[in-house]
Amino acid sequence: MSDKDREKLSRLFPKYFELFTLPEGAHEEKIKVYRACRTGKCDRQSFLPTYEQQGFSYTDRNDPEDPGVYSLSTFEKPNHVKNFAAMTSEFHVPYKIAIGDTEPRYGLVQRTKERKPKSASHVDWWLYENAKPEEVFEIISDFEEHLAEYKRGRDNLNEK
Amino acid sequence: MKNEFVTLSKYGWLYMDKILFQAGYPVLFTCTDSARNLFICVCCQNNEQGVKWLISRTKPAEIVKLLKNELTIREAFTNETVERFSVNSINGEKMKVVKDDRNDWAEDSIYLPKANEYLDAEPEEFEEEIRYYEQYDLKYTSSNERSVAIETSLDSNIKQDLMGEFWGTMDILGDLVVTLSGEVEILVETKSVRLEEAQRMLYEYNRLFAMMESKETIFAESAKQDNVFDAENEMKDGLLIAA
Repeated sequence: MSDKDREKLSRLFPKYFELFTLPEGAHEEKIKVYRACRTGKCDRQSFLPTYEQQGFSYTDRNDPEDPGVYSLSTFEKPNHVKNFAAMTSEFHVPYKIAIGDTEPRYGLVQRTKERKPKSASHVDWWLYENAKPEEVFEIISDFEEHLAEYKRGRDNLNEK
Repeated sequence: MKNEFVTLSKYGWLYMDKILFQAGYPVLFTCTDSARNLFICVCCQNNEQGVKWLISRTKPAEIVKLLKNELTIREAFTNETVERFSVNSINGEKMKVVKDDRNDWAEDSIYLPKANEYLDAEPEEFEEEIRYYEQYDLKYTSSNERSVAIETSLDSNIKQDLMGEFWGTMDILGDLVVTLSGEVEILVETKSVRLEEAQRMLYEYNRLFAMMESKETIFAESAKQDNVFDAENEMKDGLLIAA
């Protein structure tokens, strides 16, 4: 990406993006991903980047230069989003999991494992200032059935 | 990411070991202390109210079961646990540790991983980690048990002849590792060794080798060179005879 393009992009992102450097691998791509919804709905509160979710502050464990702190966390695989919901106190059974695409008009993405090898199917989505990702996602009505279907397909593939 | 995680008064610093699951931040991970005690940790809350972790001291075998989908995530924290802790950081304050908080660890605690949930790992997803935890105790010489392996320095030229006896020259460093399946492996490095170091290594090797149930006869010969250990002359002091 040229410096000119970077400069153009920097004007699209929230001001706090000055705190870190977007990785070189951040790009536009439509990836089908899952997002666990804290409020149980596809609303703004359920689609906050980690830094905003932490109240625009850092935890004791954050690395302020880690681009992952400033992205919206999503997962490509449903079993991984389920793991996240299972381990996080804000989520309760039945989990409210939304599915959607990472729309390029809302920001840039990168599969996290390109930067951090052991990141499973986590996808970072760096959102522009006025992005509304909640509008292009929908809650899966029966997530357990959705997950079971995914596993059947995965297991069939592994058997071949 | 900082390597130090948190200090526990009994164990000192816990250091980040392996991250098993992350979502912009480590969610499920293991830590070790300086004595290589193993702890499993989960970040069960990370929002504007604060950050919270649960920590259980555990065993490598339990982590292996977790990664192989033989144990639920919750069970990894509640089964076979020796001690358990909560770590809280509210409103950006310094982390505070609480031991055995009854609410955090109660059956209906919202902070424990949900019941009956497995990692549901895909094939080979945790292959490397499983190998790591299966061999976790192999580099730790704290026990006389056969299954604890020994890591030490050893001559890589040591060979095994048809009689099953080892012989060779003691002039190159290597590492001796005994796996859980009882196989002896030698990891080779090529490096010269000073005489004093070689003597220390031989002593250490034989001392640790004595911890194993089975013993091997070792005959080591070396050319008399400067700074090369002369094993022949040290045989009576350092070498084991087969049982």
